[in-house]
Amino acid sequence: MTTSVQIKDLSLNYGTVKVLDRLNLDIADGEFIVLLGPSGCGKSTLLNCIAGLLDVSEGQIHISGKNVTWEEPKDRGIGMVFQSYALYPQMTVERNLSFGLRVARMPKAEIEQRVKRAAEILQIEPLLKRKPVELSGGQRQRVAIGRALVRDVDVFLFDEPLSNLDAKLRNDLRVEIKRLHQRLKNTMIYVTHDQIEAMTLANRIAIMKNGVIQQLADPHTIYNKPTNLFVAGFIGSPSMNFFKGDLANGTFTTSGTAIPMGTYAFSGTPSGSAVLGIRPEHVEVGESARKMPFQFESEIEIVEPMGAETVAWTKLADQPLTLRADAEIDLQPGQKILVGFDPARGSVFNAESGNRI
Amino acid sequence: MSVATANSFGVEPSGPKPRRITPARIGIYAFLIVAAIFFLLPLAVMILTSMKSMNEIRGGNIFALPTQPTFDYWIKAWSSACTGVVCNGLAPGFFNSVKITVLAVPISVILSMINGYALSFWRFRGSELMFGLLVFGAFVPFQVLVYPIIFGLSRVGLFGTLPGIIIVHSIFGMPILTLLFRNFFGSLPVELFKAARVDGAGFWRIFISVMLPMSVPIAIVAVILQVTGIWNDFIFGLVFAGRENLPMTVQLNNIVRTSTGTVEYSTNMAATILTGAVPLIVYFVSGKWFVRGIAAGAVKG
Amino acid sequence: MMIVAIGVFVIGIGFTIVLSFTNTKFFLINISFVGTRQYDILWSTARWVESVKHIWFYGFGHITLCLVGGFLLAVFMDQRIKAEDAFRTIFLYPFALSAVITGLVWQLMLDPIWGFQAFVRSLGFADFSFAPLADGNTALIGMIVASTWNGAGVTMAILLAGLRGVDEEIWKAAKIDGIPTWRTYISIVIPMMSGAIATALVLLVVNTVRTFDIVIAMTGGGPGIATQMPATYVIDNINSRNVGQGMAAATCMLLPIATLILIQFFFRWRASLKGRTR
Repeated sequence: MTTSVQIKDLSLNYGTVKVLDRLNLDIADGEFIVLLGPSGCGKSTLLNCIAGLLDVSEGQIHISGKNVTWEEPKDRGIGMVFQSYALYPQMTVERNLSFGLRVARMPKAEIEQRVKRAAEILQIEPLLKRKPVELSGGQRQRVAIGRALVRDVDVFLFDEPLSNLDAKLRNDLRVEIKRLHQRLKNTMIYVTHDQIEAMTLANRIAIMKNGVIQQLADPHTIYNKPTNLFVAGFIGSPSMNFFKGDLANGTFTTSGTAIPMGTYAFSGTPSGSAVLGIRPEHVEVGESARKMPFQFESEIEIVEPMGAETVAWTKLADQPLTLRADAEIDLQPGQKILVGFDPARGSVFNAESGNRI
Repeated sequence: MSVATANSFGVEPSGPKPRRITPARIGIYAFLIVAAIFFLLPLAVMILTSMKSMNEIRGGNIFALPTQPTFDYWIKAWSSACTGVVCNGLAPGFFNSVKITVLAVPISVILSMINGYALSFWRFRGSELMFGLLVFGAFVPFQVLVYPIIFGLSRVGLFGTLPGIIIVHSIFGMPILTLLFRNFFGSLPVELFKAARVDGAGFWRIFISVMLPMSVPIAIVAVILQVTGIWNDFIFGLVFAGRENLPMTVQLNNIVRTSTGTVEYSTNMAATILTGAVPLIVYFVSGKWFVRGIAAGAVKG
Repeated sequence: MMIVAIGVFVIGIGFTIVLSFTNTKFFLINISFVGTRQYDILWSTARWVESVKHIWFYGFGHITLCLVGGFLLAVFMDQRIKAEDAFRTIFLYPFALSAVITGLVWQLMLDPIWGFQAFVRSLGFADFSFAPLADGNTALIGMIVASTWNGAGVTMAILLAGLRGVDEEIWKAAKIDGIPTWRTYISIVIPMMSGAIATALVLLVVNTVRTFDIVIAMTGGGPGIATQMPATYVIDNINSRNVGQGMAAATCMLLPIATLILIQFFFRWRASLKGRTR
């Protein structure tokens, strides 16, 4: 795979605080990679370093085969879309798109051609004469992307572009970004704290915490085989159920309840205090629970009808358990019903290190 | 793998970009320091001159340090300099200024606060128009109104008296202060007000129990602005205060103008420092509030 | 209380304007309407005409220097320098001093015998001359220097507030687009600061029209009539019992302000027509 962006041993320190800690990342050509994590994890900082807006303390950055660690942002072959879009408010859309090119003294004909092409791809041709204040949120985002598009770059950087929007708009624009990636096939590096954006848009996700990449994998792997407790708890909504207990001889015991791990693929020696994680959608109720390797009678405590499905709260070994059931199944609070799951589909973590066993 | 680039850096880039102390950075500091010197010079001159004897000053070097620093001229300016026919120094002027300021500031601030409060929450017919006119008043040069006010005040026998000048200060301070307070109250969540209404409180009740406690920061700004403005005022004092109540600024001018023979710069500069002392102290102590006051006034646009 | 204040303003203005058409001496005894005669006298009095010229010259100089100087100071202060608070305190303190003090100190500093000129000469530059107040042609310049010293700090504070209101991401976007810093200021940032600039400008204009204290303190209007201002003309006429004249002059002083307000209203009215709230 040809590497489009390469981060080598990147560190960024503010005094004694390590904001980024010896990061290594290889991004393939045309890949859509998402940097995901909670506030303060360093994802925006990493993006700004790649862009050249921040100086690194150690390490190197290569873009399209060139070492750009000391290059100015404009010479790195990147375009960037900001959270607030940062459109120049006093200029029309057309001028916003062309300003950088005019400053670089590009021939007028070429500028016109590039602006036209970008406007066409993003469908903002009717907006060219308008000013940013007259545009809707979605239109502004497209202009912001257009500004990067006209620069004819290899790599696009996105800094939480959807965070300022309401839920409905966010969903619509998310799809547009995906469409754009499919059409342009450029490398895209996208920063967000929203796991749904990450899951739906990414070829690979890099989950970060405290300046360190916790896991770098495609969405499916991250969802089903999280490498540690943090990743497991961060991805998935409603979040994964966790049970503290002990692992011995292939059986997980929590608060007196023994759960045979069955065909679970352990790595390393499976024993000692551990945490078992089960996703709500892997928990079955009623008839389908009979087919599960592990079953138990339980009482439904709370029912949350979501429309397309129902989320119910119950207990396993005196610890809370959430499950997702088909909306057709009738569940009532106080109802006693059979609940079951296959432990092999869950995740077991070492209780101290948090790492996957 | 990176291609070993024969780049302009001569070495494989890694880590932080090497930054030479750019001329730009030096230039910034140089400019600011030169500007700072420009701004500080007059203060230095004031202080230095006030502590030298006239002979020293005659030497011509305005920036030289005094060889025998003395506060004699300060004492002279305070108690025995001549402001016209009387030679009682600045002291009477100081107390007059204090009187005027201490009385006029609270009155103008409180009145404006009430105005701002009323305009913000109790919109009534014509309130916007009234506000517009009031603001217009802030721009009107005093000279346009000086005679009518002289006329009006003398008709009610208040011309040249302490109450007279306090009224004048209150009226002229109202536009800007009302603007300040209205902007402030406008930025408060209106739910506060609505909740109080629901609880059954009326105009004054809400003002005293709810708004007043919340307005402490902006009230401080208003007080600072007014104290500075009123203390430094010259023309109102000159015209309206009357001979017994001349504020310090007017006295200062008189001392400087009344010179028999050569101008006594030492005394004059000492007098200047004494007059400027109060607002300067207010400024240095209040620092950030001052800036906030200016910014608050600037929000108008 | 507001009504009282507004009443004072409105009635006061009306009073002044009406009186300008009379030949009042002082206490409204024996007034008679004389049409526009006061205005005729006004505009044929050298002192008044000169005053008007002076205030335009002085005003233009003062406002321009304050805006430019204030802007430069604001830009430099925005560069994340150390001791920013200290610098700001230094630049702003002149504003806390009254115009009278400003005038007096600068008068001393610009004095040929006692001030700056003598100082430089004592260093050996025997031919150095810098005494603007002595010469009628340059006295106004001396005053401009003094009042800029007083006002540049406030202008800087206002412009700095406007500058800091510019979103940081705009700067980042410009950097990515490859736009050099100076160009970013001119084409992007300054247009975004138009509100703050307008505020600073209005403040400066209003203060200029009122110029009175500093004239009295610094030059007394001289040498000759070299630094006379409309404000001093009005007061002097009232003091010398020539109220009608003073009122005519005062009415003329009102005109620029009224025009400014009207312009502002016009812009606001036009903006609200376009449905944009700005």
